[in-house]
Amino acid sequence: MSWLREIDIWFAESVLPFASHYRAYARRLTENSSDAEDLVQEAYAKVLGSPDWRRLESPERFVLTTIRNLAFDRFRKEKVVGIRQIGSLELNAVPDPTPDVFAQEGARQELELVLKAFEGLPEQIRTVLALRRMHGLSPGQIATKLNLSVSTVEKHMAKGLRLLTARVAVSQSRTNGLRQSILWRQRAGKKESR
Amino acid sequence: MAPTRRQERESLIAEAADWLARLDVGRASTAELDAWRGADPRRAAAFAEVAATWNRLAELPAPAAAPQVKASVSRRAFLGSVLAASVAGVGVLGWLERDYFLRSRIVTAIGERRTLSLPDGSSMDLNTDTEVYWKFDDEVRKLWLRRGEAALSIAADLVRPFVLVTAQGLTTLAAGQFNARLRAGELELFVLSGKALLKTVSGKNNEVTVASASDARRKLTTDGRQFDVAPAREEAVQTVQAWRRGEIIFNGQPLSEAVEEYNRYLARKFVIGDPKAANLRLGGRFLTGDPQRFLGALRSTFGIKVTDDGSSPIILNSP
Repeated sequence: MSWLREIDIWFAESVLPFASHYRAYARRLTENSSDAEDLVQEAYAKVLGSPDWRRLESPERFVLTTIRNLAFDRFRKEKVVGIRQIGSLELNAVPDPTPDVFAQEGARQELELVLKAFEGLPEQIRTVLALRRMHGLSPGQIATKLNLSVSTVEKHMAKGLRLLTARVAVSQSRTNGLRQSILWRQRAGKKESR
Repeated sequence: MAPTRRQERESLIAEAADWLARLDVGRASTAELDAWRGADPRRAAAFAEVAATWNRLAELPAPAAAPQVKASVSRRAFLGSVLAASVAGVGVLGWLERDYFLRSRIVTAIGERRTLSLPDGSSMDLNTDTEVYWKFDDEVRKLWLRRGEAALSIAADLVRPFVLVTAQGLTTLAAGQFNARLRAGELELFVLSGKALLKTVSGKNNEVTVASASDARRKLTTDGRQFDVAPAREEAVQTVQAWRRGEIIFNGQPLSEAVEEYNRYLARKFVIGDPKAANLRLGGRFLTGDPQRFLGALRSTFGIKVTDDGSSPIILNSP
């Protein structure tokens, strides 16, 4: 997709696949999901604003470490109510998101979240998105088929994308969070040096 | 404070979604997007997330066409009307089968090697830093190679073709032995036995069949537009077989190339300090999991100076 720069493609391929890990981890460090989401978004912005992104060998660990540091900073400086007391163990051991036994399970869960969110969309929006993305009809063709204006098709797509992105984020921090935080191996010896 | 931040975040996602939809219907240009996105990395993050959602949607493929498709109606148009008609009643997902979408994914870490058996009796070895997905159904066996290198041993199946999907194109593999590697935007496929049919994603002359005779193994390279078929040299064949034993073989490559190869297996990389060292040519067989022995050989054979502070990359200098 020409809308994506090199860094965006890298971001989508190397960083975003672990989104549920970031959200679950951030959720574990904070009292509410809104604070958690803030941490994740801030960490994303840090990665995307980093001139050194090409040199990150393990971007997912970098994001987790950034989340941890941001959480700690906030806790210390801003004294934001809601950040949990972070024990020293929590600070040293960033979870290892390397998928192994749970790789398949994770991918499955991930798609289920998307499907669930998709199912929950208003009907018209769902139809437009399915025709556009699953059947490859152009916005113009969809407009003709459903007897809508192209600008309405555009609005439906925008709204659908907004809702889907937000809902997937919420369910990533909830459903996956509980399970994965139990499954995470904490490797004390494997510390992030950045 | 929290609600304000939340609103801010939500409006970023909403803006990003607006941009994507506007681009998709052709009401905005990439340059306009860049101007908006370039101003704030948080916008870039929001847009990347929305774009990921957009791509996810496309990953949910439509199921096979129903049997009574008329020849005059294109499959897409037909599915479109079926879909539109069904929406009112059962809803899109009642109609699209759930399991159809689900794919399995395996990733190897840097330095990791893994052997997997696939449900059809095929097997694959994944080399360091590799990502694959697969999805087998009643009609086709599909394997996506996203990055890295995989040695494939494909089992015969007369009903379901085996399709290797990469960014460069689709390659249908007949029963046999293959080694697929992605490097610098190219797919490099060794046909060690059996047959491969490549269809590149673009390009005029975009189809080629490569078969191996018992004594002639072939190497197919493609960037997605053009392709090149050549006999596989014996050293090259040995090299692609070596990694499955955890070995790496050099046959007179310059140190720069050798280091690039070895670095695939290392979290902490080797860096060449001066051009003189880069041009040294070396040969030999080394273990991918034992960089110290490799370094030892460089020291003793070439007098290479190794600077290793235990944390930053390991620097190699000529004597």
